[in-house]
Amino acid sequence: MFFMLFTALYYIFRLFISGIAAAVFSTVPALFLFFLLKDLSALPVLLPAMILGVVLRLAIHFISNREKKLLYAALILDIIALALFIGRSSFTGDNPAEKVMCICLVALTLSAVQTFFYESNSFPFPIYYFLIIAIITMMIPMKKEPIDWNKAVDLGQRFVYRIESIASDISYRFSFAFGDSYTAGYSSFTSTGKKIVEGERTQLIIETGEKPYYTYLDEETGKNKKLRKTLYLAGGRGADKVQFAKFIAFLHAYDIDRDRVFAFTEVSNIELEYAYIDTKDVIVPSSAFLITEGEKKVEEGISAKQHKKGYRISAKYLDIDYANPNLIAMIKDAPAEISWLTYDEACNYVDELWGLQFTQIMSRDEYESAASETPSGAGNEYLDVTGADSELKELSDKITSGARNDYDKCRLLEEYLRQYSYSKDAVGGYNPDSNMSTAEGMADIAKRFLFETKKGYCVHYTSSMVVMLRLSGIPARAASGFRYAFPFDIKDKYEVSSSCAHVWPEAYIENVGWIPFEPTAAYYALSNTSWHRSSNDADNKWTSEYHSGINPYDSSKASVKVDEDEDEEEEKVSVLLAVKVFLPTVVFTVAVIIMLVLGIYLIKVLRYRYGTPRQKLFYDVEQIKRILIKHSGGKLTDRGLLSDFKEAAPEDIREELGKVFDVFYRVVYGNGDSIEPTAEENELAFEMRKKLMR
Amino acid sequence: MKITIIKKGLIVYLAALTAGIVFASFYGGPVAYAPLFALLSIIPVSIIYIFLNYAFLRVYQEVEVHKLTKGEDHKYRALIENAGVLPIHNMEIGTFKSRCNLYEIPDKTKLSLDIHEKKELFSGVNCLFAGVYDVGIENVSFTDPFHIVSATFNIPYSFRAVVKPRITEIAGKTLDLENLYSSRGRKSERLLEDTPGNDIRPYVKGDSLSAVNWKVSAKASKLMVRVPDKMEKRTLSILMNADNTPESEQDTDFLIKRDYFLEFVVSAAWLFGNQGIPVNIVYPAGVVREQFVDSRESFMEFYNTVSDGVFYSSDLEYNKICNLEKACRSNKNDRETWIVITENPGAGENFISICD
Repeated sequence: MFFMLFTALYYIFRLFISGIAAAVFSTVPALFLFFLLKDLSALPVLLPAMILGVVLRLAIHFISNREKKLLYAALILDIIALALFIGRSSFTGDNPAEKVMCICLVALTLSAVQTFFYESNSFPFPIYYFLIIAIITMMIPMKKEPIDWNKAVDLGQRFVYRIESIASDISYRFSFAFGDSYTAGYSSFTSTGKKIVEGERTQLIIETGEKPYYTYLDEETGKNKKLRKTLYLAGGRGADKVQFAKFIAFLHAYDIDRDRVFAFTEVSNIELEYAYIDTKDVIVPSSAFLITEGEKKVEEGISAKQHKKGYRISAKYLDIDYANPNLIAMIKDAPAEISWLTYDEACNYVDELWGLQFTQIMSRDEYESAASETPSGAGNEYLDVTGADSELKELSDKITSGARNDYDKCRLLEEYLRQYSYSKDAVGGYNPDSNMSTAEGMADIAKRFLFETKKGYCVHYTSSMVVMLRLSGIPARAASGFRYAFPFDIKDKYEVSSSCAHVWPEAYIENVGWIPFEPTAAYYALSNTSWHRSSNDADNKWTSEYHSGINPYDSSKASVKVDEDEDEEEEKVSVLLAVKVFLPTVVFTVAVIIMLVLGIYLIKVLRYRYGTPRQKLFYDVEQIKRILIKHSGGKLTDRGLLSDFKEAAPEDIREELGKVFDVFYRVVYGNGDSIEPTAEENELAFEMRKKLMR
Repeated sequence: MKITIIKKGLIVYLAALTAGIVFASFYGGPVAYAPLFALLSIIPVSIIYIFLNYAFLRVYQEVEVHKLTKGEDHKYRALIENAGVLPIHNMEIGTFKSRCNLYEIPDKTKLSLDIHEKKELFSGVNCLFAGVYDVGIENVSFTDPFHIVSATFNIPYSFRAVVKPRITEIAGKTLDLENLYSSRGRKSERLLEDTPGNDIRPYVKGDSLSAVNWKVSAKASKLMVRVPDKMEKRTLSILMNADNTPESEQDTDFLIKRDYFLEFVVSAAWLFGNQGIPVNIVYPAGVVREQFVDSRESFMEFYNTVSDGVFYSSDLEYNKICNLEKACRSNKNDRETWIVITENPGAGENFISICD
């Protein structure tokens, strides 16, 4: 650093004085630095470094043919640096001096290579060029890690998928002509857990009039905040009316009224359109209770025929905040036995809670049949633990040992699994054919994941949780579909890509029903995504709307509790943004422009004032030419002949201007000692310029 | 400005850059990134360096005489100065080699200049064509240190030479003087021919016998002769139909044609002048001008004006010449003989047309 400093000073001084004097003078600042640094105990290395810099600067100046010798030295230093870097892991970049040293070495090496290979070792390119490169390189931050190509690979993949998507669209359109069915990658229970590559192909398109986020008041900051909505879309299940009916009975058992239910439930509507997906499965929100295709109700979860691109359905579903403390408390303390309501009671209760027409959801026969036929608990298939060994059993017992209820067991297992690393670069079960369609397959995947690889993605987490839940005596199942996190921006359409494909476990809590969990570490657990609503909120706009006869669920425009506040907040935010960001930016930009203009003007003035008579004359003539070109309105062009400018000048100053131009020609082309302009001639040129400016 | 990519240099550079990227893909830290970033900055820095070199380059050129003559050697001097703060390395100087011979400054001469350094180049210059055109240094080329890219710039101030045409026998071989002499033309105010007059004086030794007025001699009983009157000689007109090619498009082919055109016209004027035939020449020198050549002085005036440049200040002047040419060809002015010399004859046209 000190050597570079003295070298830089040397080059500056050399503009004014001879080489040897410049070399000596360049080290003069070292004297001042010596007195400054001699008592600096914090960095004792500085003083010797400075002395070394001075010695090197002086020594190098007096070495004959020093450039060439330095270049040889640079090549040797390169080899040493590389050997130390690879062999001893030196120069990691912890110390800024290492970065400076590496850059200096690179600049010298480039200069050496240029001299040897491009100039035949004779006349090197000026070192200034390599110094500029070194300075620019020094300004760029350097990481300790190698280049991360993932982003580039992702970008490439996106591009490829976009092309693929267009190709798919074309092939899809043409497939009808040849009677062939279109095939795209909808995930299913056939997932084996092997390494996957995410796709960006759009598989579903969601349309909704609701805002894609919840808004709540943050108690800590006192500000309104947004929380993105996350939608779990399950395939092959359809509208689970029995689950809906059970949930009503559960709420009724706690005597939940409209105010309380609003804190953790919300009825929502969405329109779904199939894109590049070929499946018979009906894919809808996991807690959908009403699905229609046009005017027709869709009853089955799996249709008889394949759904093509453009297949549209609308779904009404109950969005439940499973992280709401009240709901968690109710689930934990679920009553041992719940009696179903009569159909009429259910109709009234649903109407009271959400203003929904229960008759549109379930007919009396359907309801009564469900109430009489649905046995207590889930089916035995949800407790199937085929393939699970004692090791898995021990682990699940160990995890759930402290739990007081089934819900706690579920949460403990979820928390335990979330500790595992998320990775798409995973392996499946020991048996390569193991998949999630059977209990045995899930157990095989879980064993390898839990005890061997300890990394995986949703298939591994879900298989493990389902198996361990069953081993703990809790009926469990895996749901397959998509997990879609809405963006904050309100859009007309939301595209669900194949990268959103997901599987997650659901546990059956007695007298509550199926509850989803999220053990996959890459995503927020459902328990961490509370809407932050309390029952008091129901006293606000929502209830007032309801009381005034507006049913918020009749249309797709379901109200969100703080719409107006949100708009105001947005307005405040935009004003704040304008004040905090744009204003300083504008002020700063204007200030920079003014400083630049003033700086340039100042430099011009100083250069003129302290310039040589020749420089002053050149500047004046140049300005005179500019003024005359400007006055001519573009008619006058600079052909390099000052006589043109003389003719274009006003007649009264033409003669004097001619004298100035004569002096200019004398200075440029003249030979001998007396060609430099005199003070009077400079004065004349200055006067001419001023006259023309006026 | 012309930018050229040098393939060999580019391939070597890309190979080095690839090696740098591969190395930085496996190792982090300054040892890996410093060479990579330095390699990446080579091209932008080179481009900026070249532009700065050019921006601060000053080239002044001069020749010992104001007007040059085609085929004659003159002293030429070029002053090249680097007014910038970055040295200029191996700048290539390109000359107008197709227009002039610069004996001591061959084309592609390489020159390096340190900060604020100036160098003088001396040479003899021999212009190959008559006319007004740029000679000397045409452009300068800069190349980056690793020979990846090369930029060629025309120098800001070219040296514009005024080259006088040579007077040769070229016109005499083409024009049929005997026929032209006998045809009708204008009268010269200075060149007069003798015709028998009405004044009578006594015969003196040396008078022509044909001048003797025998009738008066008989009456006066001594030889009396008629005093001759002076009559204006008949003349010709030459119309110079110069090409109206814009200056920016005046290439070597144009200069060759212009050279022949000027040489022919001045040779013709010289020839007619020598033969004692007055010539009226109509030509464009910014505006359409008319020059009567009937003496050495008037010829020199014409010669100097034509050497300064044959050009049209506007399309209006060109149209004037074109209209005049049409009028000559249609022989509307039957009292004069016109020689129309067309610099760039079109299809079916001749370089010389005689309209009488």
